Amino acid sequence: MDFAYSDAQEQLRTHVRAVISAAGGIARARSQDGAGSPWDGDLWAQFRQHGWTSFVSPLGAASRHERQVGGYVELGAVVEEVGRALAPVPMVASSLAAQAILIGGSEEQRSRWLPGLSSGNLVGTLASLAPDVFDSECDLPSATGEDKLNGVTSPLLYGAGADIAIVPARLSSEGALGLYVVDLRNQDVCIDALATLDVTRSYARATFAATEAELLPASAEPQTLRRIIDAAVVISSFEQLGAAEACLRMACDYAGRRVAFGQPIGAFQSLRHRLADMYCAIELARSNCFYGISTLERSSESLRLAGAVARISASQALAQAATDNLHIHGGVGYTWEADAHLFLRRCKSLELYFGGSIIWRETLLSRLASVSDEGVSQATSELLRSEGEDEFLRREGEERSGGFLG
Amino acid sequence: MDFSDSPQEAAFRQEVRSWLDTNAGLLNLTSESGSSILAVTPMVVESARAWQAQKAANRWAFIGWPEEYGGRNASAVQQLIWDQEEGRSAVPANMFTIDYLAGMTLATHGTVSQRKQFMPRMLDGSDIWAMLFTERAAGSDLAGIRTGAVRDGDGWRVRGEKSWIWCAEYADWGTLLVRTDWDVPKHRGLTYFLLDMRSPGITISPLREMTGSEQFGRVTFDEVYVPDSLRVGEVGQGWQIAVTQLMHDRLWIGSGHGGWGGRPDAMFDRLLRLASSTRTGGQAALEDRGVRQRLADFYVELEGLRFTGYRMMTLLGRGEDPGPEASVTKLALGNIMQDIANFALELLGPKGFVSGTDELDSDAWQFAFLEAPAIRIGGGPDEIQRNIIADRVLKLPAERRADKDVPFHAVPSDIG
Repeated sequence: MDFAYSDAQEQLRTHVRAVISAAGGIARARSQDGAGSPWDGDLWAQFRQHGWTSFVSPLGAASRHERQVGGYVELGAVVEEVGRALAPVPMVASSLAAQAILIGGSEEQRSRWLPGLSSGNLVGTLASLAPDVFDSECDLPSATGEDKLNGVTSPLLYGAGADIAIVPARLSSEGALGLYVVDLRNQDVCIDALATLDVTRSYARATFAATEAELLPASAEPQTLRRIIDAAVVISSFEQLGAAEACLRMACDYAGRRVAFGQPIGAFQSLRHRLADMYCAIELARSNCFYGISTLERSSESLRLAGAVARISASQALAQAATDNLHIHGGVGYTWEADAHLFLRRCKSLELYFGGSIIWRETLLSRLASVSDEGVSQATSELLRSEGEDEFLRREGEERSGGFLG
Repeated sequence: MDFSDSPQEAAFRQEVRSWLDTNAGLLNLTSESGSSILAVTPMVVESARAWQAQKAANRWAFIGWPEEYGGRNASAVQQLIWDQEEGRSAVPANMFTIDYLAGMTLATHGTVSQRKQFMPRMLDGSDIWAMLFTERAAGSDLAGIRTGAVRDGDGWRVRGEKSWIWCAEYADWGTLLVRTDWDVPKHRGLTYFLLDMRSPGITISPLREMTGSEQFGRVTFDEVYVPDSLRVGEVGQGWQIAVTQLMHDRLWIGSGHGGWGGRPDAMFDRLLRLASSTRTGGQAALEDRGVRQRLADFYVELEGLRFTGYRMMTLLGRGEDPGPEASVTKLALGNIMQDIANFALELLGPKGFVSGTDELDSDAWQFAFLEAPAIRIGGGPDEIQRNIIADRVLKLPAERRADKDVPFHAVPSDIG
C-alpha cells in the first residue's frame, strides 16, 4: 500500500512551489494580463533549467516499450504546482501535446517531437477537445488527402507562441476523425489571439489553408483518440487540484485575518464549516486524481473510467473552492485587485477546455453501463479484467460482489 | 503510486487468509439481510463468543494489543488486513469491539491488577463490554454528561442515565464515564470506571431505533455501587482516558470497519441494476439523462471515498496518524449513503414506500434509507467532523464556547 506522493515526489513539489513563489507567485500570472508575450519566458527558462520539462513526456522520448512505467506522478506533482500559482508557463500545454504523440504517434513521430518537448526547446499544445468530438455536428478542420488541413481550430492553449499543435480534424472520406500534428511556424498558418474569461492565460485560434500536417496514425482509431482525451484530463485534473488548494489556503488565510463583529470571521461556524466542506471536496478529488495518474503510470485500461472520475471530481472541487473563496472574501473578493476572481476565471477555462461536466458524467456512465442490459454491473468485472495482474483489485471485486446490502 | 500490498503485507494477508479459510468455515452464520450491522440476537452472541475464543486460542484475537496481553503488537495496516480478511467471512466480528477498545485503554491507563483481571477475559470472549459514555443530556457534547458519582466509603455511588448504548443488554462489563466534580469546567470534573453490569441498581431497557430494531439500550443507575479499585486513572482525569478510548475508536471506524456501510462501493452496482430495472418517463430509468447524471456523480463520490481509504492506509503504513482523513470519509460516507438511499427509493417510485413485497430489493433500500441518518449522527455528527477539520487541519480561529472555563454546575442544560 503506497498511495501517496513519495518523499522524493514531495520534495519535487516543494521545490517547484518554492521556485514559482520566489519568482513572484500569482503576481507573475497577473502580469500576463495584457502582456505582449504568451508566457513568462524567465519562469519557463527556470523550468527548463531544473529539468522539469522532461516530465512532459514521462515514458521518455526513445521508449520502445509502451508498458514501461514511471514519471507520471512527478508530472502530476509539477502540474499541481503550476495550477496552484496560476503559473504562466506552457508546462501543461506541452504535456498534453506530448501525451497525444506518445499514445497516438508512430515511433518515428515520437522520436522526432518528444525530445524537443522534453528539453523545452519546443513548446507544444493540444486543441480544446471533448468526448463529444465524435459528434458529426462538431466543427472541426478537415483534412485533404493525408497531409493537408483546412479550417479553423478550437481554442489552443498558448497557441500563440507554441511551435506545434495537436488538432483534431475530420479525415476526408469516411467522416472519421484523427489528430494531426501541425507546425504552427508554417507560413500558411494564421494565429489569432482569443479574448477569454481566463485573463491570465493566453489562448489562440489557428486557421489553416492547405496547411501541411501529419496524422498521428493510431489516433484515427476512436478507442485511441478517447484514450488520449482521458490522459489529457487526468493531467489537467492535477492543475485543477492545485488551483483548488490555493483557493482553500487563500480563504483560510483571509478568514483568520479579517475581523468583523469583534472576532476573526474564521471563528464563525458557518465559515468554518464551509471551509471544512471545501477541504473534503478537495481531498476526495485528490484521491480520484491519484488513482487517475496511477492508471496512466501503469498504462492501465482502467484509465477509461479513472480519467472521467478524476475530471468530474476535480472540476467539482475547484468550482466549489473558487466560488466559496471569492464569497468568503466578500466585497474585497469582487475587486480586480484581489486574486480570487483569477481562480474563478481559471476554474471555468480548465473545466470547459475539455468539455463541461455534463458531457463527462454522460461519458462515464455510458462506459459504466455499456455492456448490455442485464450486464450493467459488468462495468466492474470489465475493469477487473483489464487489471488482471493486479491482485488487490481482483480481491476488491470479490468483495464487491458480496455487496453492502446483502 | 500504487495500492497493492507490499511483499510483507501480502505475506501477512496470506497467513491470515489461510488461517481463516481453515477456521472461519467452522461457524455457520447468516447475518440479518438488509442490515449493514449484524443484528444482535442471543444466538449471534453465542457464536461471537465461540469465534472470539477460537481466535484467542490461536493468537488471532485483538492482534493490535501488546504481546504481553496476548496480542501481536500488530501494526495498523496489519490490523486492517486482518479486518478486511475477517470481514469476507460471515463471522460476527464486531461484538467485541468495545472489549478491544477498553483493553487498549487499560493497557495505557489501567493498574496491573486491572489488566490482569480483565484483559484475558476480553481476549477470549468471556466478557462482553459496553461503552457507557454517551447520554441524552450530552450527545455530541460528550464532556457535558450529567450522570454523576459521589464518594461512599471505599467506593462510589452512581446516579443517572446512559443512552444509545450498543449491545447494553448482553454486556457483562462497561467502561463508565461519570461526573465526580460539578464545580470545575466540564472536562476537568470527569472520572472513568469499570462497571459490573450486574451490579444492583442497574436497569437496562431496550431503545427502539427508528429502523424498528433494538440494537441499542438505555441504562439507568440508581445509587449503583462501584468500588474505588475499579477506577481507572485519577479522579478528574476521566476525560483524557475516555479520549484515549475514543481515539482508538476513531481509528477503528475511520479505517473502514465499525459496521457503518462496510462496503459502500458495492452499493453502486446495486443502484445501477435498479436503474436498469425501473422505468421513468416511458423508458428505463437508466436511459434518462437526469438519472444518468446523478448516477455518475454517485460513482465519482464513491470512488473518491474508496481511494481516500487507500490514502489513509498509506499514512497508517508510514506510521502517521490519519485523524483528519477519517473525518473526511465519515462526513462524505454519511451524506452519500443518505443521498443514494433517497435516490433509490425515488427510482422505485410508488413501490419505494410499500414494505414487505421486496420487489426489486425495495425492503433493503428502505432499510438503507432508515439507517442512513445514523451514519451521519453516530460517532460524532457531521458538524463535529467539520469542527475537527476546521480546528486540526485548517487551523481556523477557535469558535467561542459559552461553557469554556465555567464551573459545570453553572452551565445551562435543556433537561432536568
